[in-house]
Amino acid sequence: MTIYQGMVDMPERSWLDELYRRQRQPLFLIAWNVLRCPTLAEDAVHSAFVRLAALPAAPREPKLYVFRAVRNAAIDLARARGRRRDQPADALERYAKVDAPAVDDESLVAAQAALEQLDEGSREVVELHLQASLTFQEIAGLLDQPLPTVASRYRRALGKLRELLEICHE
Amino acid sequence: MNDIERLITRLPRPSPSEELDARIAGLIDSENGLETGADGPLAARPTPLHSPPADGVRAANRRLIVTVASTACAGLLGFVIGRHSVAPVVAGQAAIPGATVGAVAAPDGTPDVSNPAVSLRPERNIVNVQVPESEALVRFVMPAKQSVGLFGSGPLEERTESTQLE
Repeated sequence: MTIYQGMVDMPERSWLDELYRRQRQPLFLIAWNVLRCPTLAEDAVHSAFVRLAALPAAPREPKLYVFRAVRNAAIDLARARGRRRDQPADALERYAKVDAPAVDDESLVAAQAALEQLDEGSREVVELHLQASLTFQEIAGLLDQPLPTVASRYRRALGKLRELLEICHE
Repeated sequence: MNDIERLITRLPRPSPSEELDARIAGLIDSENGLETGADGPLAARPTPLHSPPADGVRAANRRLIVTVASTACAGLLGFVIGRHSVAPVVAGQAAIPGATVGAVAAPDGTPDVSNPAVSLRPERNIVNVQVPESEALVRFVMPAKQSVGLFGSGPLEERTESTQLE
């Protein structure tokens, strides 16, 4: 009998290794969406995997479990850095401007700017769905929100993006 | 997928570096090494980030048990204190000077005053405390004897000798 009832016995950490190899980009983007810094995002992923590797067995829903672990590690890291005196409160915003990949296309620049104008929750849903390729069901599980809430937030975010981009083109 | 979604999808995003892949691979390998008994670099195992659902059930059960136990202890304590507060004083335990065993109502309702100390069973004895009026208890608890005279009300003074005017 395992220690955790919601887990399935697995002798090794092969499930974790395989999950990382399959989901490395979404996992990294989940952390990056919170921290907006590639280095910090990698640290968050690593920190989460240190804890995940200590689990005695695989969770019943490994993918969702690992996604949530990485996101929570990123939030913890962001809070820890925000509490430091040598890190001002807007440090993450500076990281976003410094570490975001360069965009050359004019429409992409406008899209990036419009995306940054969305509220944090809506932007996260859009980025998780379109860039990390997570389904609405996975996003709902990750953010611990109802599925209709996530879907409606996504639709509203797209409408807002359309408005912002039309304004930019005008 | 509409044009907005395609545009957002085309936005460049950073990718995890090979260094992270190496770190994760080393981490998993070392953890497997610990499982098989080899000396891995991870000496301490931190607790999992998220508690699995079973932990939530156990925590809820623990809270329920603590609540029930606390309620039972509080009830037992209240019962003991309440019982102690209304417990009759047994004559043998009375240490008040001047206290004597008084009469209590017999089962038929009439008080037995003939020989109360003998007639009562020990478990039914109740103390009848007779305190002299000079005791402080009477001064504070009992109302003073009042009299209404020519010059108003005041404490009654019992005088045995006649005054000089008389």
